[in-house]
Amino acid sequence: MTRYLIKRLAGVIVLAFGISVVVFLIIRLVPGNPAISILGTNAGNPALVARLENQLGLNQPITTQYVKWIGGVLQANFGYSYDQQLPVATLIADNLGPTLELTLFALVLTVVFGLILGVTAALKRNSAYDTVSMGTALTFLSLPSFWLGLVLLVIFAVQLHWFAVVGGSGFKGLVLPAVTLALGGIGFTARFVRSSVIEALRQQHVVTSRAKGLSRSAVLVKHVIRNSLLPVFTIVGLQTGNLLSGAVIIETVFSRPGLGRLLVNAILAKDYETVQAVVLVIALMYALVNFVVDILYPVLDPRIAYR
Amino acid sequence: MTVEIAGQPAADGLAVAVPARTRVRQAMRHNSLRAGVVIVVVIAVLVLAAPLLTSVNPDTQNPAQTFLPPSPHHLMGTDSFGRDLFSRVLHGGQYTLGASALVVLIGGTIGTLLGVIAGYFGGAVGYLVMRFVDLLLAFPGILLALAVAAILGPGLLNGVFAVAVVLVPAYARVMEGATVEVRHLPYVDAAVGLGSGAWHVIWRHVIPGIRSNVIVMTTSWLGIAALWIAALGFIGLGVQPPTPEWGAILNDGENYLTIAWWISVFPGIFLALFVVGVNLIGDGLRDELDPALNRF
Amino acid sequence: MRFRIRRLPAAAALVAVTLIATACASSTAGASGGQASTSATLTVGWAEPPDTLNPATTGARDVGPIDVNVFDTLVWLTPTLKATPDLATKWSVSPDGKTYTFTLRHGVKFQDGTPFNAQSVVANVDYITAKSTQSTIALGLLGPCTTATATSAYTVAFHCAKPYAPLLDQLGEPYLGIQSPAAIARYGKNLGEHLVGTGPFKFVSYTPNQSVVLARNPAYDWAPPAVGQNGPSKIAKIVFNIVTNSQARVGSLQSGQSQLVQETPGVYYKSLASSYSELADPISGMGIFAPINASTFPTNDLAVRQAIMYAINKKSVIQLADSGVFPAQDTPFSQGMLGYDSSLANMYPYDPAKATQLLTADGWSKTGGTWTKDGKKLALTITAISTVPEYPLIAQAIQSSLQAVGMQVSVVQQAEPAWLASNLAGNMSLTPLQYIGVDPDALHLWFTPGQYYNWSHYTNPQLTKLIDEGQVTTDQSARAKIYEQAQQLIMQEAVDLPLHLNEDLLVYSKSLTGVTYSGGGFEYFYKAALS
Repeated sequence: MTRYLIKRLAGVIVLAFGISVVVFLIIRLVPGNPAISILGTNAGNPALVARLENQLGLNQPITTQYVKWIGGVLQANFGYSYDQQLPVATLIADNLGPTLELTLFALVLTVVFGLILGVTAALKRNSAYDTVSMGTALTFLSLPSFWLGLVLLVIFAVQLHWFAVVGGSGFKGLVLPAVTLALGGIGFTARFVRSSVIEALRQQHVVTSRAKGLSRSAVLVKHVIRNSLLPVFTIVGLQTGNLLSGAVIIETVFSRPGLGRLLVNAILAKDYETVQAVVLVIALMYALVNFVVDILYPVLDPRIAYR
Repeated sequence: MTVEIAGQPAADGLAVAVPARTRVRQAMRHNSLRAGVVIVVVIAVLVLAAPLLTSVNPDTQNPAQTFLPPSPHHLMGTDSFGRDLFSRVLHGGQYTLGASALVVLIGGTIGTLLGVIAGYFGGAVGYLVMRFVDLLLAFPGILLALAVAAILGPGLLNGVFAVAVVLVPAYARVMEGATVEVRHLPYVDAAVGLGSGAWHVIWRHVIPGIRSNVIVMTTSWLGIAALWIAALGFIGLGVQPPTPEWGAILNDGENYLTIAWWISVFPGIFLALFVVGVNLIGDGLRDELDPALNRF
Repeated sequence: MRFRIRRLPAAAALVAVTLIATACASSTAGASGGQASTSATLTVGWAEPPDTLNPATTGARDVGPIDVNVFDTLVWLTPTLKATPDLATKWSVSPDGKTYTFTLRHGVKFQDGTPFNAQSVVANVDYITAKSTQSTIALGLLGPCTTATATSAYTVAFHCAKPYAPLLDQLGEPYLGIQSPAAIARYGKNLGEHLVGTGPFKFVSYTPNQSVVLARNPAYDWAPPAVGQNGPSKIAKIVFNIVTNSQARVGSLQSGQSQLVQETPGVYYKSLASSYSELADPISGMGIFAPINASTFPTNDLAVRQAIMYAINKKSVIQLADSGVFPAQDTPFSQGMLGYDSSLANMYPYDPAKATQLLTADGWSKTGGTWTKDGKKLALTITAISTVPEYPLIAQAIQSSLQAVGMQVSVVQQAEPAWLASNLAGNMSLTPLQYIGVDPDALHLWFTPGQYYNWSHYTNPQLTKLIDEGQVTTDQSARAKIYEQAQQLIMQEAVDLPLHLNEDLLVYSKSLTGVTYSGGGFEYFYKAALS
């Protein structure tokens, strides 16, 4: 177990290193010179451009730049955003909370509603209810979230005044963005859970239990639900990535602060250090969630051994 | 909205023997498959027949006819430039559908090849390929697409490449697993034992063996590709104006929802329907190609 | 000034002036009516996320209006661009035009309690010009006047390397707002999160991408005389909510969450006029325009550039891009700027036949509906910043105007860094943008050799000479004459395509009165009242 943990943790660290290299290179390939963007009206003066490139370290060999950056990151110094003129650490601190709040709430909605929809559909499979709920799940999965967000915003906030149009403060401001973000995940989870429950129902021991005369609900609780919880864990791992991706667009549509919006703006402005740090943080969050899920698997299901 | 399909073992090497036409006929008995095919075919026909269905140029502006609601004259109304949305949505479908097909073709081919190579040869090659795949999978999909799109600059083809990059690791991961399974099937072992070359075995046995995985993956990713192409268009990293790609039209209408809902509602419906159709086909095919999950 | 500056909305300049007059009048009325609440919070739907709130280092237009409420400047620029006393009560210019001496107001205190004096001004100039300060707009506004010395406790002298006429007006822009020297010393790079000025509102908080909160400065007792009001502000608190999506911004007004929104899309500005108060805040400078690239084929050909000027139907462009709310602009400078010359307005009327005639005379011929010359097609590229909604719209509208006369046009949307790079390299034929300024010396940046913003890639010794003269001429009428001649030349050479007035379309609740702006178009809420 300990050996497995160490091995997996080492994997995460190697992955983090790989991610840092990839993101470092990718952002440098985006066209445009940050020194010129910063200088604005004064960029006509080549001496000023050169001075700033020097200040930003842009004229050093790329390996030196990387070592300098990663060295800073290891000492918790994420650098300075020239576009927002704030330390990147401050930006992340300001934006991490709202993103976590949004994705966690959306994750809860995803799992709860996905489970309800999926289990009930599986139990009544091939009925009209099954068709309707799976049709709904599929529709959720197929709606473009950026568009859906605005439609919901106009209907529920602008027309009906149920929620705030602007602002991320409080539960009321969180509902619409989280629901928009969660719908796709609910659709996916419902479909996934439905087939795992059907699979579980078909398992020999369930059939046997039923034959032994255990009541339907007892069997359901004892075997089926427990067995279908495993896939739910897989889903939590998968959905975390999707929700973080989705947050990029949802935060923009709903004018919410957050890592996603911070990142999109930083990519568009070619704000090196912000992009590098935010991508690293998001990828690490994603990797850690999957790490925890992997650790919990064998705990929940003794049949799975640590490899 | 990523749908990731867990690696499924190739179900039936023997299925190859069943005549294709019979299989299609059997498959079409499946309700969701039938519904999906109908939806996708109807949309595809509408989109391909756009020049026959409307004689209006999708890019022609008319300052006197801006923001007109749907009417017999403009079935889907007009946008802020007075352009006819019926024409734009139908013509625009060619870009959205074409781009998503291209995404799947490019990303799927490269990803499958990588997966097959890693799975078949294993060893150091397989290890390196799969660690690279893990690395790419560590980035939430749309972020990777965004970054690549930012590097390449706007443009439909660039958008296609950006989304295709995301598909590569997803395909590679699944195909690697499937290839490992197929590689150890008796008849493949036999072919190797008889001294067939690696590429020959891959082409004649492995690829046919993982065919159903490829089909299922492709139907799932086609819908996602359409949504992501539209999302890039929406962020301004997709097609260049005035190309009527659906995401770009949604973007055009974004700021006018309360006064001209029709600008973004019609392309939104078309896009959602297309994705629903593709997913229904995927569901049907999965059931048909993976009998283990079937008839329950 | 940078172009993160977004779109702006409109109405005729005359209408605007009338509205301002009404706004000012009604604010007084509101106050005397006794209905105005002294504990009111004004919530504003703001369009653009600030790069930083630090006036010395920001590059964004939309930070100016936030800063103008927190900081005072040495001079107060009236909406009609007249420099009047503010922190400086009087000033003089040396005969050689190289030294400006300001006498400062007594009894002014920064919001952190630091007293304001000549040393404070010197500390600000030192800060802006320091090598470690990432200054853009502010440094540019100082021009060659990069040193200041305290000649007594309350007099300060600005020294210029060469005569620099624009300085006085430019000292009235919020980017040269005077910050507390104690705050500068204490916060350094993080100054943008700790604004300390002497203005009517003090800084409370800034949450990037979310909101900026200001509160009344109860000690405020030194309003510029030209503003016509004294004492602390009537509004207790201002919340600027950053709402980039314009539909959501307008929605926040309609749902009552905001009392004022800016950068209203034209179509809403029109449709909301009956139920809300509106103000088309005129932003001075060069309006919304497009430099035409004179160094790359096919726009290196004068006939082509002039044909473009004739072929564009501005009225239709404005109708398509902005529902027709903006008045067209036909001269390099917008109305109200020194050197504005209305006689230039009729130089290029919309006349597609004239465009055809010019091209034909120049040896172009139409084959297959497109103009060609020596086997090469007349194909143009219009670049537009993808993140600012208005520019791609304008680009598409221009595209259709030009296609109508047989030119091939492609529109290329780009994110800002890529857009800057392609303009700098000259990889475009024209690009719509705005330039904001209070002094005609703006031409220096756009049309003299070697300048970053010479995106027309055009040089002309005669023009350069005129612009250089304008910079050192102190006599106002002589200066105006020089800029008239310079604009004449620019228009003849067709390197600047003026499009429409640059206005920030404000829509606000009828319970809000007294919304006004400082010279240059920076929204100013000192006189605002909510009933």
